[in-house]
Amino acid sequence: MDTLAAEFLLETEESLAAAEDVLDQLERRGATPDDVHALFRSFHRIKGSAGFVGRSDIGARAHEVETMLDAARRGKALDLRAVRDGVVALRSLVTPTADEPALMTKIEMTRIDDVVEILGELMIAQANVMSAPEIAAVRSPELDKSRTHLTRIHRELQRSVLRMRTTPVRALFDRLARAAADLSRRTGKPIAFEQLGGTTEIDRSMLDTIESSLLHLLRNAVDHGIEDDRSSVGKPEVGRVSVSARQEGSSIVIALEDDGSGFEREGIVERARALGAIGAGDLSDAAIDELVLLPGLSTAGEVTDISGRGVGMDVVARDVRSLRGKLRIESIRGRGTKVSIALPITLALLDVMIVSRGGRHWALPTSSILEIAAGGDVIDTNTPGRRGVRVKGAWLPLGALDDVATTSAPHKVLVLQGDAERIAVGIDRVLLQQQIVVKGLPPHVAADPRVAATAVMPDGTVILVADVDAVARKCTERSS
Amino acid sequence: MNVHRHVVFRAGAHSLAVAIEHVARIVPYTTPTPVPGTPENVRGIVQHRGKMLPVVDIGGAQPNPFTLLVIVEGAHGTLTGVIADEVSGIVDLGAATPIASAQSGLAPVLSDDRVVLVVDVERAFVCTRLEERP
Repeated sequence: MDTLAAEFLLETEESLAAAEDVLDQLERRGATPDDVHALFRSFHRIKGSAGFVGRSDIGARAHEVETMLDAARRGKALDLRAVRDGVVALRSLVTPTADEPALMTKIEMTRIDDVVEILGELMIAQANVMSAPEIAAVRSPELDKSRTHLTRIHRELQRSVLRMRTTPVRALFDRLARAAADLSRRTGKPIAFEQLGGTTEIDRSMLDTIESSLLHLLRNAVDHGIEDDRSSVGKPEVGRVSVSARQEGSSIVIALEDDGSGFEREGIVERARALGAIGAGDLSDAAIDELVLLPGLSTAGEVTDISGRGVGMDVVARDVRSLRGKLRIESIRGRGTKVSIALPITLALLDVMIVSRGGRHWALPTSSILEIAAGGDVIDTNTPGRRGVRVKGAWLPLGALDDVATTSAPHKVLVLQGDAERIAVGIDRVLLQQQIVVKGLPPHVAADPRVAATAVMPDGTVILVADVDAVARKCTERSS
Repeated sequence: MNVHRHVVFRAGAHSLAVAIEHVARIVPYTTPTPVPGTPENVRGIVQHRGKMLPVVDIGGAQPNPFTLLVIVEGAHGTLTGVIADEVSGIVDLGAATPIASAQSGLAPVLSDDRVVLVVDVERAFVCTRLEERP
């Protein structure tokens, strides 16, 4: 869906709304020549831009109404009902069908983002007023009441705006169901597709990315998961593929599961060794399942038309990470595979802990923080550059938020859950915990990958949001 | 004809010029937040009306209470703040003579016996990311 077409639909919707306003008015007080002109202009505009974007269906319908209004301008009686019918017909033509719920979301999203932005500024302005010494000095129950009221309104406003950003996953699941039916036909494998939790809401800005990831997982499930001859392995002839969504704390978990053959771990290990991705040692099943996320490693033994070109799971993993999500794979040989994607409820807000280290402030996602511990002794390891710290008897690699040389021993350490392993980072102080409006770095600025985003503090200063996975990767990279 | 009108400002030892249509706004300087991994001349980022922008130091200015930030709009609406000690004025550089070839987006020209570095906004502030971000 390109922006031009989206603009057109939005503009048409606005013209129709304007026409309806006029119709409402003239039904109450009778038509004036001005009303007829206004109606004519609305439909004329729709016709004009419909031609521009090649929607002749809309153009033709608008032209009919326009001709009727033109006759009314010349003194013919105006048939209000016919105009109303025209509005309804055109609206049905521009309203996204169930097939394309994402039609207008691009434009809507930028508008909603504007509101989120302004809301963020309002929050800053509000905090500035509240914390002004002159205001803080006033002792007044009335003012206290208004203050509480203002805070509550602000919170409600924020919640409703964020709801505007979310949409139920049902339409997405319906599209997956159709894709499953199509794959079933193409592969000749009978499939029963189930969906669960369609009313769960996710951030609209994630829709496109998550849809392509789920489609990929679905293709893998049908093509490689579901067996060709299921009766020979004692399974019902119809393969079962299900997609589900549910909220789990501050995450939305979307899972795609099949009752197929599961990963053939021996083959995966063999190919990973051939690619030089792993050494000769033994790996746990969970570690082997993670291997399919490596670039160039497909879960398929052979390349087929539908999937298995060795590109895919690594792309899914990257896409999920770009949405600040986590990917988990569980596979049991002969029983099936389940891939779960845990996504944040919204990309606009983030619960963070703000800490200081070496005079710099950082915001760390609360969801990645496992523990705050006293700053233990930093242990140098045999590997140069690799340091660790002992937290409650366990040794953890010590990572850094940036490369600024900090000589002082950390007062505290945060235990963080990275992509693959747990790490610790040294900090001087925990300042506060709060919800922030996340803003990306300016697009033309090159920065350390450990900087995920930025946020504006109530006093207007900018704070950096750390990418915990990148901190963990950087810390383990040094060891290799 | 005002196609060559430039805002000329002093930044440390240099006189810089930015085509007037690329100057979005001139605001008082606020201390930027340093960002690790950025090129050396990027002092950090600040927010202006809810938008994040990098603060670039071209002339080696020493910020003081009178320091300014010239907000320059580049390709695709990207905003960059350039530290300026003072704004010298608006000068027509249509007749100025280039005296050397441009380097890193700065083209030296001679205007009224002074060397002015004309900032090519499309080139000067675009720094691709050092590492591919995931």
